[in-house]
Parts: sequence; structure tokens; C-alpha cells
Amino acid sequence: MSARVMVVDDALFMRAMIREALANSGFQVVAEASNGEEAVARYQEVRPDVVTMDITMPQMDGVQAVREILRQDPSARIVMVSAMGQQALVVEAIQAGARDFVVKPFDQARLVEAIRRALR
Amino acid sequence: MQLERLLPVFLSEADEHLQQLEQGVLTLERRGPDPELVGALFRSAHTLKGSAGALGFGRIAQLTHAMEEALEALRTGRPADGLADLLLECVDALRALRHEVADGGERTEVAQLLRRLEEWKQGRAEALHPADVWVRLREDCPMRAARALALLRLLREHARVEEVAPPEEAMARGNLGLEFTARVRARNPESLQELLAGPDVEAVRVMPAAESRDERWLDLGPQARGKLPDDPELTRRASLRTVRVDVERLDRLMNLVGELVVDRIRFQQIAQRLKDARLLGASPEKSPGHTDRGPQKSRSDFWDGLDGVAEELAEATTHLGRVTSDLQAEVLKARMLPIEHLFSRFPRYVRDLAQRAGKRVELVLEGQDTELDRSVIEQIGGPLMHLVRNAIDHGIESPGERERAGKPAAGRLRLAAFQEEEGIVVVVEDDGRGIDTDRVRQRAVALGILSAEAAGRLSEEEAVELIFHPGLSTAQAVTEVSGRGVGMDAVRAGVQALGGSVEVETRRGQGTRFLLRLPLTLAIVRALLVSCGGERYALPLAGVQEIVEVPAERVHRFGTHRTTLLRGGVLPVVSVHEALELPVPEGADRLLCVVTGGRRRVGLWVDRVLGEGEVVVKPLGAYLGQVPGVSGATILGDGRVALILEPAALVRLAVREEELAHVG
Amino acid sequence: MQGQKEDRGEQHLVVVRLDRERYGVPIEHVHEIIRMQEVTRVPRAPNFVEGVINLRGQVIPVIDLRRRFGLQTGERDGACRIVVVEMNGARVGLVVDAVLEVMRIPESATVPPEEILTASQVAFLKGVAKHGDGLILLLDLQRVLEVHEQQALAELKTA
Repeated sequence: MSARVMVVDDALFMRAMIREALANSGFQVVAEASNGEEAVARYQEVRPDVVTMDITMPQMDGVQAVREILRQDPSARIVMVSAMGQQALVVEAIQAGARDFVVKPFDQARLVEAIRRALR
Repeated sequence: MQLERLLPVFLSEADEHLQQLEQGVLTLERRGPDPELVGALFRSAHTLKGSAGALGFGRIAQLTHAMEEALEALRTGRPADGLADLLLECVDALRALRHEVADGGERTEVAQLLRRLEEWKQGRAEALHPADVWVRLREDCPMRAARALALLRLLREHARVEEVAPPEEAMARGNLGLEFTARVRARNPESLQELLAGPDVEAVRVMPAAESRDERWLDLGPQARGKLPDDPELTRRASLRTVRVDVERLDRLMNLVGELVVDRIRFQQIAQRLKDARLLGASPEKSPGHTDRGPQKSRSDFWDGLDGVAEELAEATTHLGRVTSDLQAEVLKARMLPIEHLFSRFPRYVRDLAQRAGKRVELVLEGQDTELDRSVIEQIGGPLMHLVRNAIDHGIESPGERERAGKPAAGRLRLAAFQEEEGIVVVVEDDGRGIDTDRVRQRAVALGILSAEAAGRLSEEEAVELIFHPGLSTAQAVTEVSGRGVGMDAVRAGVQALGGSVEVETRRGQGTRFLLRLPLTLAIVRALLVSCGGERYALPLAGVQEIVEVPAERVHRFGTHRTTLLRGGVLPVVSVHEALELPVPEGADRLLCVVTGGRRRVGLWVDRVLGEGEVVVKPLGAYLGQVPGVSGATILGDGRVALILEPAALVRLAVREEELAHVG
Repeated sequence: MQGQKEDRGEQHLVVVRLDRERYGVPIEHVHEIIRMQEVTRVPRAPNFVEGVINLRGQVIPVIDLRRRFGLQTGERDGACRIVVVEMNGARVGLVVDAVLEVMRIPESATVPPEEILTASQVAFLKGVAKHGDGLILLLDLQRVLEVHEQQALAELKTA
């Protein structure tokens, strides 16, 4: 039984990279979104087990999206993906309810580990 | 909109329900699950649920519903273990939610509480063990603060986190080294070790904690000590912008205003008559009823008339004086609130503090209906909390220690308020270990405040006063002087800013008592007007026992210490001139002493006593700050400013002068 | 007086005299100007704090600017005034030898104090303006009113 993951990032390349990393580790990527609004909508439709969420995106950033998703599903598991130098935003995301985070550039093992821990 | 109209009502009712819930749970904890009590709690939760639901406040409705179910289970026999704690946490969450309704915000989450209530209901009683969790992050960990917060979040899902060092707000701002610690309560503390291990974490250690908090923590420095957050509710409640006034008082005020109107008419009439009399004086023949009695007689009529007017004026002025005095008094009294307003928050506060410190504390409240000016109440909340916190953290010993010392296992903390002469006294008293004056002296010497000699020569009372010294009250000092220390100077400054004073009495092994003397009202104080060194000062009448004249030869000097005999007892004499650095009069053959009471009688040497009266207290302002020996200023009848002296501080100043003379 | 916007490029000042020099006080901080009156001494205050006075029912502190700037104290005559300034919510009176006038000085006539004066003189100034055939020294009220707690604390520590 492999876990279902939604990948949110405004960069196509990033989404592709994450998708590959996850697929290689036996996860199932069931949805993608390129901004916060889309992420909230898709989450409702798809109800993934875990979400990877980029922090800076147009049309609703990652932190806002975390808040929205959690408002509708308090048990949602979200892992933030952040660039260096964005600690304040990551802190905000965690305080809003995100479970974990990885910092770009990350190696695949780190990301996979974070997802596994989020699923515990 | 419907909601806008209903909102204030909902909020004020919610406050009442929450207060009832909290009191009820505390009583439940003390007395056990009494069916009537449980029923009352159920009803409060139920009503709150109804209104919240009707207005669409989902989380409040969810939480109160879960509380209802738990209370129902309690009523039908579920054993109560751990429920009181849980319900109190629910009350806290409900308070936060209530404030979010008023101020906006969506940060309070109820999912965890709902889950725990459910677990309790199903009989999984929470037997929680205290433990200290220590985490060290790897040096190459990116975003340490975020990582620490994420770990704390994880920790919260499996344990109750009580204190964190450094505090989370500091972490959120980025103030974090490589380590942090947390005091938790968990069902299975050992499992936390594995839970927290992960990338970025160098080491985790979970150590079961002793029940008592007297043992020192992993000391990450004074800032790192996780502080019990100041109870915001305490300060919030005390600063109401509206007041309830007795209808009778309003009636009295109306009557007085009526009298003012009468006085106004009288003055108008007098003014008219003066005008007439003036005309009359200018041309007496114009007076009505003037007959040809000759200029002499008319003139005497004129003066008689004027005398009459003067008399009336005097009467009317006296009457006006009385009416305005009464009016003033009534309005001032309308500002008073019973201190119960403040005291009522302490049962919960003390309970939480005691639990966290691993101590047992019995709180006794006395004099709850003593009334104080509302601004005084607002401002002593902080100092009182400080004193209570110190009493519980440092004063009262752990149950084990107390039993070994032959004391009952539960410490006794007494908060009392009563009226005394011109003011109110608030007492904070504990039966703990008292203040260790030796450690205090050592600390003062180590910090360079006094020489070892001077410290040795201080009397017990003077040594205890050292705890108020700003130098001693730093956080560093606290870890060494396992006694009071943090914020004592702030406590005293806060009380003095209100025109009051703080005294302390302590006995080693037996306990400590703080007395906060406060003026009845902020604004007006009865005072003695004195002259000293060519300047005029006001001395609050409270505490003045008598005024004596002492012949110079009966005053004995040792250094700057002066004493005299008064009715067989030794009376120390303090020179106000020296305390205030004013010129000391030469060759005085008599000293005039105003004798003040309080704990010790002291004679304050002044030049002359000018009179007595009511003075309106004015603050000195932020620029001047704390002026030693002075508690405020007042404006005298001639428009000039006179400073209001603070006798206790003058005495201290005089004592310190003596110490200065011997240091170095 | 408060809330009056300065025209861009101009400073609106109350010009006072202190020991042969002219100083400018930014008008937006001047609350009022009153005659010299008897001041009640405050014990153990720094020596430039003259004391407190009654300003229509409010008790406010008064500073002797000569002492504050380390100038010699001079005779006080009928021209002496107290300039009541308001800053950060606090009102403080400043004793000056005389109040001369109110004027507007263009920014272009102002230079930073370091260009003309020595370091020690610069302490309380934020600029120097050329006017007529003389200079007006522009006061930095924040510095002048710097609460002297540091001093008082230092005194305590050495006690």
C-alpha cells in the first residue's frame, strides 16, 4: 500500500524532480498544483495522504495554503519545501500546522525521509 | 447586521460562563465529583455551546460539546482521574477562542483537545510521567529555529509540553543555539527518544524528572529559563473601560448636582445685588424707598446693605465648599472596585504554578470586598503576581522537605487586603523557608554593591531590604541566591509609583510576609505640610503618630545615626535635610520630629510644620523617573509645587548614606 | 502648533538665545513659552535639572539648558523664559536666556554640525544654519532630553 502524495510547486522542473524522487521510493504522486489556490482545490478533490508544498508561489503562497487546507482538514500532513534564507516563512508554516520541511537544494533521501516521518 | 448586535452580548455571557466553568472545575478538583456540581458545569457548557452554535462559532461549539460528553460520562460513573486538568485546558482554549471571536485570528486549534477528551471518555486514563527532554541539533542543520519548532510540534502530539527553554517566542524570532530543552508529561517518555531522532538531530536525551522543581535545570543561561507566561487574563480583566455604579450612588450624585444648581442661583443673585449696591453707592438717591433722610443715612444704608451681601457670599461659599467636597468624594468612590476583582484570578494561577513547581499550595484569600481605586487595582496585579510566583517557586518548599521540617506537606499562601487609616494594606504571606539573609549579603558583596564589612554590619532587617536593590535583582543573581530576586525592584517601583510602599518581614524556616501599603485613592491624600531646608514638602498623614519637639542636647549622634529617648523608648532620628541633600540648619536648639509608625517608629527631623490638609497627588512624570525619597508632587494653594515625601524611603536613604560613608 | 506640516526644504524654528549663541528649537515640539517662575527643587537629580513647576495643574520638570550644555550659568533677567517642549508624550521645560523669534530656515542653508564645530560641541545639535551674518545652532531635542537614567544608574552602582 503506497502512500498518495500531492506535489505543489510553481516550477515545472521542481515538480518533475520531486515526482521522480518520490516515484523511485515507492510513493504514488496523485496530483500536482502550481499555486496555493490550486493546491487547496485539488486537495479537496483528491485527499492525498501527504502534501509537499513550496513556500513562494503566486496566487496564494505556501503558508496561506497550509492554513486553508488545515482549516478544511485538520488532519492534513504537509511538508514544506523552502529555499535557503526563508526561515521566518518556514517558522510561520510550522506554527500554522505544517509537519516538517526540507531546504533546497535537498537530496532525495532527505525528502523521502521527511515524507515518511510525516506519515507516521 | 444581526451578528454585530448579538456579539457583545455573546462575549460578555461567554466570559461569565467561562468564569463559572473554571471555578466549578477547581471546586470539582478539591471536592470530588458532586452530582450537583457536575450538573452545573454541564449546564454552563451546554448554554455556551448553544449560543456559539447559533452564531456559527464552530470550534467553540465542538469543544463545549466534547466537554458536555465528558461531564456526562463523569456523572454516570467514569472515574475522574486527570479530567480536571483536561477541562481546565479546555477552558483556556475556550478563552483563547473567545478572544479570537472578538479580535479576529484563527490560531487556536482544538483537534488535540477533542482527541484527548475522547480518549478520557473511553477510559484511557492519562497517567502522565514528567520528563526532561534535551535535544541537540547538528551543526550543519539548516534553519535551526524551524527545525526546533517542528520537533516541538511533533513532541506535542505525543506529550504535554509544559515549559520550553529557550521560550518558543524567542525561537520563532530565530534566537536559538544548537540545543533546547522541554519539560513534558507523557504516558511513555522513553518512546520520545526515538520519536525525535531524525535528520538534523545530533542527540536526544529523555530523562525522567523528579517531581520537585527545586533541582536545577540544565542551565542554558538566565534568558533560557522558560518563564511561565504572564497571565494575560489577569491584566485584561482588571482594565475594564466601564464601571458599575450603585443606583443609590447615582441618586446621591444627582442630589449634590441639585445643590450645585441652587448655589449657582444664589451666586447669581449675590452678583446682582453687588451690581445694584454699586449703583446705589454712586447715586444713593436712586435707591428704592429712599426718603429724604439725608446723605448720611443713605450712606449707612449702603454699607449695611454691603455687609449683608458679604455675609451671604460667605455663607454661599461655605455651602459650595461642602457640596463640592461631597461630590468629589462620591465620584472618587464610584471609581472603587472590590479587590475580589483581582484576587479571583489567583486560585487558578496558584494551582497552575504549584503544579508546575511540583509543590502543594493552599491558597487563603481574605478581605475580598476591600475596595480600591480601579487604577490601583490595575497596577498592583503585576507586582502581586510576581510575589506569588516567587513565594511558590522559591519560598514554599517541596512536600518532602516540608514534612522533614515538621511542617504540613501543603504550603500556605495567604493573600489578604484590609483598610488601615489612610490606606489599604495588601498582604502576601507564605509559611515557607524564609529569606536567607546570609546568601543575600554574600550576593551583594559579590556584585560589588557593598563591602564585606558593610554587609556584615547590616542588621537582619537591612539585609532583607537588599533584595530590592536593582543590582541584586538581575536574572543572574536568581540562580545563586535561591530566594527572591527577579523583579523585586520592579515590584517596589510599581507600588511606589502608586504612592504606596512595600515592606517585608521574614523568618528563616518559618516564612515570609510582604506588606503592600496603598493609598485609598490615587488622587487625594491627607498630608502634613512641612518646611525643611527652606523648601516645603508634604508628608502623608498615614503613619504619622505625633509631632514632638526635642531639645538638641537630648539627641545623641553616632556617625550619622541620631537617636533620642521618647517616653522611655529609643527613637531613631533621621534628618530629612541629609536624606534630601538639603542644607542642615546650624545651631538648632530644638529639633522638630514627626514621628511615623509602620514597622518601626522613626522621628523625621524637619524645620517647621506648616499645617495639614488634603493634597491632590500628581505624578512626577517619566522624564524624572524614580526620585528616591519622593513619591509624587502636589500643587499648593499658592500654585507652587511641593514634593510629596515617602518616609520609609527617607529612612532607607539615611541608612544607605551611612553605609556609603564606610565603603571604600 | 502641532501637526503643522513643514514646507519641503524648510525648517520652522523657535530661535532662542543662550549665552551669546542662537539656538533653534523645531517648532512642532514647542508646546508653549512661559515666563520664568519659581522652581521647586528635586533632590538628588542631575545638576542640570532645575526642578519642577506647575503648568496649569500639571507638574513638569524644568532643565537649565546652560547647565545641560556645560555653559557657565549667568544672571537671569526679565528676558529669561521657559520653553515647554513636548516629546514622546512627555513635557519638559527648558530655561533659556531669551526667546528671539520664530523663523523658517531653508534646508539649503543648513549644514551638518561637524563641518563647523568640534566633536564635543556637536553633542546636542543636529545641524547648523547660516542666517544673516551669524549662525543658528539647531537643537537635537532627542539628545537634549535623553533620559539621564544612565547617569543615575552609574551613580547608584558606585554607591
